[in-house]
Amino acid sequence: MSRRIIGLAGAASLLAVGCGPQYSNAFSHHFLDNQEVDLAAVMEQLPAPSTDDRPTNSTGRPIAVASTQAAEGASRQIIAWGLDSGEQLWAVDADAATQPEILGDVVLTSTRDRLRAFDLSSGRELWHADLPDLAYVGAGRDGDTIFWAATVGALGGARRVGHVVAVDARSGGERWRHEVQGVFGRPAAKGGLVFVPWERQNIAILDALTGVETARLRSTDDVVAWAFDHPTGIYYGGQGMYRLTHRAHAGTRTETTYMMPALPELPRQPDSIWPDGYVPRPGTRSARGRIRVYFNPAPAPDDVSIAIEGDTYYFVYYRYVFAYGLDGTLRWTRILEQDVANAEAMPHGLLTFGEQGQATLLDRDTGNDRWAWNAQTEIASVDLDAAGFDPSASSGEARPLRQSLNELVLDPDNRLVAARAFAISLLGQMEEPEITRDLLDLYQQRAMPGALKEAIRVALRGRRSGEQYLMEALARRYDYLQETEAPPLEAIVPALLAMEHTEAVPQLITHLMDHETPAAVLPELVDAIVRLGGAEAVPALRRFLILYREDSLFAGPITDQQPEEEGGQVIPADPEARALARAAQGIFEHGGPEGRELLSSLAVATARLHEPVRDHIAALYQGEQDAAARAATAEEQARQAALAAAAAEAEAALPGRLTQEQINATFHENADTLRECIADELERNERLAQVRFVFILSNDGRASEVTVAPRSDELVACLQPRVAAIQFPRFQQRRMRASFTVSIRGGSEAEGTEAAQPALAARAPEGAPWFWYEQERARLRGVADRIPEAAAWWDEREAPVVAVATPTGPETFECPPGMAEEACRQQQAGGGGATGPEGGGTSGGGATASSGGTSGGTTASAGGGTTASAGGGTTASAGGGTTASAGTSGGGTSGGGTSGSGTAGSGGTAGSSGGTSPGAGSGGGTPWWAAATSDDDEEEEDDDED
Amino acid sequence: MTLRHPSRHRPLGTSAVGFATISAVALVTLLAPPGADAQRRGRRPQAAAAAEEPSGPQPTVRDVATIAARLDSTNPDEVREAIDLLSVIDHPSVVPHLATLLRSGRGDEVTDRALTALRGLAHPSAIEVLTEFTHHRRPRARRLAFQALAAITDRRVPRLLEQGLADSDRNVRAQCARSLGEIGATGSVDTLFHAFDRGVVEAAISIGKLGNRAAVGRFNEHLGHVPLSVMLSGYSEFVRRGDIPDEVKIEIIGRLGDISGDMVRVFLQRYLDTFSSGRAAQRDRVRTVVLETLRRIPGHAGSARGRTVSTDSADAAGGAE
Repeated sequence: MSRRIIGLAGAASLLAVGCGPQYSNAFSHHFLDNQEVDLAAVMEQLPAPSTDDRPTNSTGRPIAVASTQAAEGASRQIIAWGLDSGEQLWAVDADAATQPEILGDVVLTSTRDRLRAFDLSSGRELWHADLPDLAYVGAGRDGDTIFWAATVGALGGARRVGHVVAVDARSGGERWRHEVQGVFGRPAAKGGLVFVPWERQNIAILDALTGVETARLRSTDDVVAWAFDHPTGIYYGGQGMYRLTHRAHAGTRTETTYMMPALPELPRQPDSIWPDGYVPRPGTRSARGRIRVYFNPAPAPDDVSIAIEGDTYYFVYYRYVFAYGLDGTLRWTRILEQDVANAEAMPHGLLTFGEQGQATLLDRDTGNDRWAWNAQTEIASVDLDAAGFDPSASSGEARPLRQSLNELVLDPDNRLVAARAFAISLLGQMEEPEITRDLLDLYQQRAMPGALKEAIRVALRGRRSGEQYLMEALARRYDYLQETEAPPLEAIVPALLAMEHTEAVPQLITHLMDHETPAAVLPELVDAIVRLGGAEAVPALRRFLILYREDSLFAGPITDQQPEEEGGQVIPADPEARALARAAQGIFEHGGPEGRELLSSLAVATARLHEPVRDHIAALYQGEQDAAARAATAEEQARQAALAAAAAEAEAALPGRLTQEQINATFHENADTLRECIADELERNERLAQVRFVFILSNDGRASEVTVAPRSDELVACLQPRVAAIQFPRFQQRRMRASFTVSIRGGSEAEGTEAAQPALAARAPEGAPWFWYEQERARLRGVADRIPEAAAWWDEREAPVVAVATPTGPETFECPPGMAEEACRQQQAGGGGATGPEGGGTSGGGATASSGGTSGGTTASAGGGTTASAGGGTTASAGGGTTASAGTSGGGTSGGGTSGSGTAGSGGTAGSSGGTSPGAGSGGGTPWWAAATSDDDEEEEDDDED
Repeated sequence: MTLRHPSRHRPLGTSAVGFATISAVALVTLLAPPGADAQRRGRRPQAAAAAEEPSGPQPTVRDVATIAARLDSTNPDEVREAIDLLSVIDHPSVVPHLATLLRSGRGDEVTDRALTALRGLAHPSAIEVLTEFTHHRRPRARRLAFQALAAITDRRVPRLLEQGLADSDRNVRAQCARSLGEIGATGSVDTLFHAFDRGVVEAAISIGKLGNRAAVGRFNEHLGHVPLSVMLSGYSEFVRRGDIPDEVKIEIIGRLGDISGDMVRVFLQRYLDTFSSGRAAQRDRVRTVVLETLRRIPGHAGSARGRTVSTDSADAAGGAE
């Protein structure tokens, strides 16, 4: 819709052309910028890019038009020369306020309040226009129309008014004009379009015929400070350069056709890569424009890139020219005789025009003169239109960059110190070792300004080659008679330090002890000696410190002293005192015990030493103590952190709950603590077969709620606190229920259980001898072979003297001593039934228990019954998985089997932990009491009903 | 002020103070009795002074260790007193103690006193420590060290003093230049001329003391390029030496007569006064030339120091004798 309106407005304007000044619709704040459709139309309208191989002026000759400098008794002029012939084409009197501009067949310039146009071929004034309160900023031309812009308040101020005007080039007749609140830059024109920089943000693209705005460009990433037309296209930008392509509507650097020249940081670098279009180019001599980057666009292969003619940028700094490749590599430098008033980059080099009329074409590759001519005129400003001008071939080889940079540094023009310092930095970046010598030589030039000396010092510090030249210089000494100066230690020492050239230490020490070494450099010198020399430098440092510790020259403050009264002057630190303090610090750092001893003696209040240095030494000690304290704190913190981490890790690595093996192992480790209680109980109860504990384990490894069976008061009272005192391994779960059974060898249960081991009995070969059973038990023990070196005390306990029912034993039966004969007979008779392997094996337990002898009946029913329910049942369920037979036999064994109980117990335990490894069985299989039972089915956290 | 050497045109950085000093030295030298030069060589001035003092029993070499122990005192007065006592003992065994004291790093006053004491001792064993102190950062310490070296009779000393001419401190250079003349270092004349070319005006006196006939010619080349007072300080040494031929002295007087002026007149008058009044002296060719030259120099009656010298007055003086 808006485009339609604009189109109508454009049509209306078109109808009105020729009827006087028109005020068309443009520069509206409502106009949409970066519209793809608008810019596509613009691109369609622009002519195809062409090469820039000939001047654009109407004569086709290379021409220079200059405003002259005021001379005594003569008025200022505008003069045109043909560069190809060197002839002056014309000269007219004009006090040009802005640089003359060659626009086709017209030369345009402004005087104080008037814009004046001259014929290019004759110099005749064609027309003029008044510029009331306006500052002319520049013009562009397309066809027969000149578009000029003038502005009030371009550089600031309350009033900001801009004019952009289209006039007939030959008559000056105004075709249209825009007057807006805002500032305009120099317009560019091409293909029937005018490109007007506006408010430093936009480029308004106007129809050249009507002045109607047809499109608008805006960069979101840059200030748009300039625009210019070129045979290869329209360019605009600020610090970087945009080329107008179909991509321009994106408005960003990355998505448009944009280029930032890869130039290093240049001295007094201009804000803009191209002259600011909002600022008039002065017609009188001015520093403005004397520092500038010159380049010339070339046809680009695509819409994405921007090409530079000759792949070269030229940085001009008054009289100095630096040529750079596109990658930022310096190619050559050149010193010209005159400040450059203006220049033009061309395919083969740079055409410069000096303020005294010297025109020189510098070769692109070498910087040598390709052509030179002198107009013999004092120039204030000049415009050049010399594209394609190449009068001769290149002359000679390029001069070595090192040499030309040296010359530039030595050039005595102190206006250009910044560029000379820049040359020093360039020298410093070169790798040739000889550059180090060059820099030293330059440094010792008497007339070298301080800023350049500082630049050289910085450059030397950055050197990494040529240390031999530093050493050569270091070998020099001051000699009044020979007129030799002391070497520039202030430059050499930091460079040697940066190079870590330790071989320099002896020489540095010589300078330290040389009275001709300037005081100002002493602190840096001592510092270098300390840092490069380390312990080797300590003897020299000691000599220095001791010799001058009381000398009046070294009595000053070692740091700047603030004034005591307001407005007072700061007392600067004394360099000699600082050197002494640094020497003391060097001894402190590298002097070892002897050095510390010396310093300790000097740090006392009565020592003969200047107070600031003494305080410094004391501060060193204090600092060391503080650092040690800090380090200790940090170490402790680190240790704590490591402990915490380890604890966390250990916590994470803790088992969820303890296995029976772990419980067994813990009991085994604490067997001695229980010995007394059980021994006492055995005295009270000779037939005690086992003791069983059931308790709650907290995750901190503490047992509580210990119950003991049998529940004799003495036994319980004795064992409960001892078990509670045992430290078990920690685990993650809050608490668990656990149990442990001490099966006492030779207990009454053993006899009966021994006979009741069905599995073992079942495996007895037919016709096995009576002792087979014992042999097999021994064999199983041997297989287990888990007896630890320190077996529990009760391993050695002898079995109580009771009749042992041997399943496959001999026919004879001996009554134990003290046994009643009747009982013995009964025993013999009852046991007879159990002698059969099968019968004894399967039912022997019960038989044995029930007929366990006269003395074993009660015990069997009590102990055996308990054990059977707990141990047998548990073992069966636990061991049943993998070693069912062992589990089963273990269940039986826990009822009383001695060695069998151990073996079976181990099997059962292994089964409970899901494996049958011997290690798993070792804990339970070795000691006589180790027939542990697994309480897996009782270990639920809250299942503490026991 | 910039002066140019006739051949090398090097600037001579001499100061007004230097010229004044030289003038005074030149004139005083002329008046000094023969043999005073040996005393200026610095032989134990302090020891002699101390010996002259009506004090108690003098310390002896047996007391060195006892006194030296006091050098370690933290009381500066005690240290100073110990140095003085050691210098009175005047024995080589004192040198190591003073060297140790110097190397231990002391305040300016103690250091300077110790150096002065070594000057009095004038023993070659002190050369090592004194050489070290010719590189001390404090110019006064260096100057005292060179003074002490100059007091030592040793073949190494002239070379060390020549090195002092290259010092950046003008007082040190002046001291060394003077000392070379005082110790009779004839082998250092070339170096002294070099120093003179470089503006060490004190070298003029030493050149006058040490230079041979050829040196006079070389010295004459500076006339007109170096302040007259400086030249006169050298000439005064030349003309009073017995080993310089009369014709050389006459040539010098002739050159000075060409220059004329009050300063020359006073110089010649004082020189004239050094001739004995005997009849033989009356017939001395040099004296005669001096008289003739004085006659040619216009007098300034109004000047306090100027008086017209006539043959009559000179003769009258001689006649009076």
